[in-house]
Amino acid sequence: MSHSLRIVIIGCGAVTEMFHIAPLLARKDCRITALVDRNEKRLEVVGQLVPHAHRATEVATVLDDIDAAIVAVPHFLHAPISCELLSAGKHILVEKPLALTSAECDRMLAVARASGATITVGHMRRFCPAVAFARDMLRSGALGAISSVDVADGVVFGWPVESDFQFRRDKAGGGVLVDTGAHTLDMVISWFNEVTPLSYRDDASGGVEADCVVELGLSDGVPCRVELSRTRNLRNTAIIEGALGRMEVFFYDNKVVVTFTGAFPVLPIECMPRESALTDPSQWRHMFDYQLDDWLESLVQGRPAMVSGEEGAKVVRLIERVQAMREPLLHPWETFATGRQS
Amino acid sequence: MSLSHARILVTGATGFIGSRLVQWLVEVEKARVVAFVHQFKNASRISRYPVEMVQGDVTDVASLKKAMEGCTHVVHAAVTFAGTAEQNRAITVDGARTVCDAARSVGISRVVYLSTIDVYGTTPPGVIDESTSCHPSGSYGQDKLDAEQVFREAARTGLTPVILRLPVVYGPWSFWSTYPMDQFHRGCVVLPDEGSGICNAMYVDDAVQSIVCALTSATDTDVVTCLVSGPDKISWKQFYEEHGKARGDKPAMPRFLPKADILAGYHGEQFNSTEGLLRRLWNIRGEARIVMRLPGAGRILNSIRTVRRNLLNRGNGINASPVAPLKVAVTSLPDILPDAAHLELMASQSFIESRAAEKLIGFRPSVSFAEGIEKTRLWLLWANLVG
Repeated sequence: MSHSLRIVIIGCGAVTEMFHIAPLLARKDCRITALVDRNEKRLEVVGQLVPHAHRATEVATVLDDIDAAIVAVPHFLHAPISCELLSAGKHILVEKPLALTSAECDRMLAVARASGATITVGHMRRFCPAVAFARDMLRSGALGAISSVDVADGVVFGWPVESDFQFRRDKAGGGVLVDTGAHTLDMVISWFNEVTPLSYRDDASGGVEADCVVELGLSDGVPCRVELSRTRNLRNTAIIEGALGRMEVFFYDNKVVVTFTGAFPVLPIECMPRESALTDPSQWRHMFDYQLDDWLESLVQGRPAMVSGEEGAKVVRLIERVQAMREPLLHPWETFATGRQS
Repeated sequence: MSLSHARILVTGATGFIGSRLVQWLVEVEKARVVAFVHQFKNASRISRYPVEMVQGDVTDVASLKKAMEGCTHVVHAAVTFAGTAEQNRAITVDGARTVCDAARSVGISRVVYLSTIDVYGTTPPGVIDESTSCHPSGSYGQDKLDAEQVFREAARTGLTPVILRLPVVYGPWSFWSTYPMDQFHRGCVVLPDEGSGICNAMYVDDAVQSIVCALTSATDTDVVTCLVSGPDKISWKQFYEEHGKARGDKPAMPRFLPKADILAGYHGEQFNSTEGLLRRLWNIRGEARIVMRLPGAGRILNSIRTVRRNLLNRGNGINASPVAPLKVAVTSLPDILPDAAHLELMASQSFIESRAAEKLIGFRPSVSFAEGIEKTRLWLLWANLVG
């Protein structure tokens, strides 16, 4: 593609307003030609940021004027809207998770194969330099044989959601496991490839889970524990123990601390790859910027993007398998005076 | 009366009492719940349950009426401390009026309103009950008292409100359980008068149980106002010490100062310019204790005193090395005084008795402080709030 790419953004929620618009406007190799949202209030708010863009409430009305699309709508709409775009030959960057179910993922991948359009998934944590550095460390074998992995990933939920879709199973597919967990599980898959679910506990009680614990098995039976929360600020690191050392990956602080063991006294090395702390959500824009760079370059150069539709589908399949093993996560302080356990 | 066929609207449903109430109503009472939510981002806790969430503002009668359609009861728990005094008053007083108007328009009679013991203001030592006169000393208590009056007036036009005056409600997600831990984290907590002030504490499940009793009670009177509290008489010293034990091997303990000294300490913290601070210090240079409570100053003076004391002691052969005591002095924690708004509460010798609640709505508290604090400590550990 030699001309400036014409991009449509489907969905004018917080992620579009905070992270997609500005970097796209700053680029010379693409332009936002249209915004689509059924919520006209949001369309108006985000439209102010891109006055030249055509505003629409239906995807079908903009298909003729675009090359590619960012799909940032509630999860249950990912598959139908993506298939509509892919059928028309439009490349898409879909926010995570790729879809609600693996069946929907398969349908999307099939439509993409038939039309020749590509799917990229917004697992933007892959672009966190600390996470990428950790992957390289693991592949180098510098830590020796890995013996355990422990991931704690949670902050008190504060995303400025416009609707309750994140809290409805029919619209989101689940709670924290599907939301934050999609990033966490993608990170673990990208580090270790072979991931088998062993057990899963969550605290949903007719709604969606706010806290959960996933036990995974890596190759050679290495245990991997993943704890996720929407109600607590957790450690927000991954601790990887190996025969030759220990690595702690701070995915919000964008920091990796490696401690080597051996004949010499413990030697800790603190790595600060590329960017400084990403704790402040405004700093997350770096990861979104890298993600956009990768996606748009992949379209121009005709190469695969970092996170393909197949990789997004792997995460959805893992989530499905994990959910099928669900057992209740009980909190001892929630026992009611009546003797009931919630 | 069972609530299994009830459909209950809860305002403030994402707050710490509201969230636990929603859980109780769904899981124990098998009721249907409509959660009136100001901002969805706060809804993680209640999203665990099958509740209908409706977004709105308690001062907007249209959104409230829409949410109340098909409901049989209302619990009005919404409150805010986030805005200006005027904004907070609007939420509390205008919100009460709007809730009453909306409930009346859709034919709901039983509305439970969560008020506070702050409506009493400073009270004399001894038992306080519903007959004690109200003289709120702060805007929060005054707003709540005015909102109570809105509900009393609404009783003349068909509503049967039950007003619950809640005390220090502690437990998971409570301000009164996270606040002590935050204070312990920042330094050495100071309580007034040996910590002997009476803490009218109530575990959140007892607060929720009182609301359920208020929802289900059949009262003879048009409007009921009840004080509620926990079953045990405890002091603020106990309250803080038991929270401090959540820190396991290194429990945090409060220290004590006369209330007058704490009041003097506030003066040391109220300067907002260097010039004003220096002028004030010059004027009160004889009052060393105030200088001692300035951030950092106390630590430096302590260090100097320790070194001086150790040097003096050297000659007596006592504590010969100045190094170790100096280390202790350097790592000593700053004093954390209670917020000015809480000082009277923590020094109060007034004790609540819930006799009217038992008589009028059939509520009797059942969660002892020992049981409540044990659950609270488990939660504090889980929530990574023990420091």
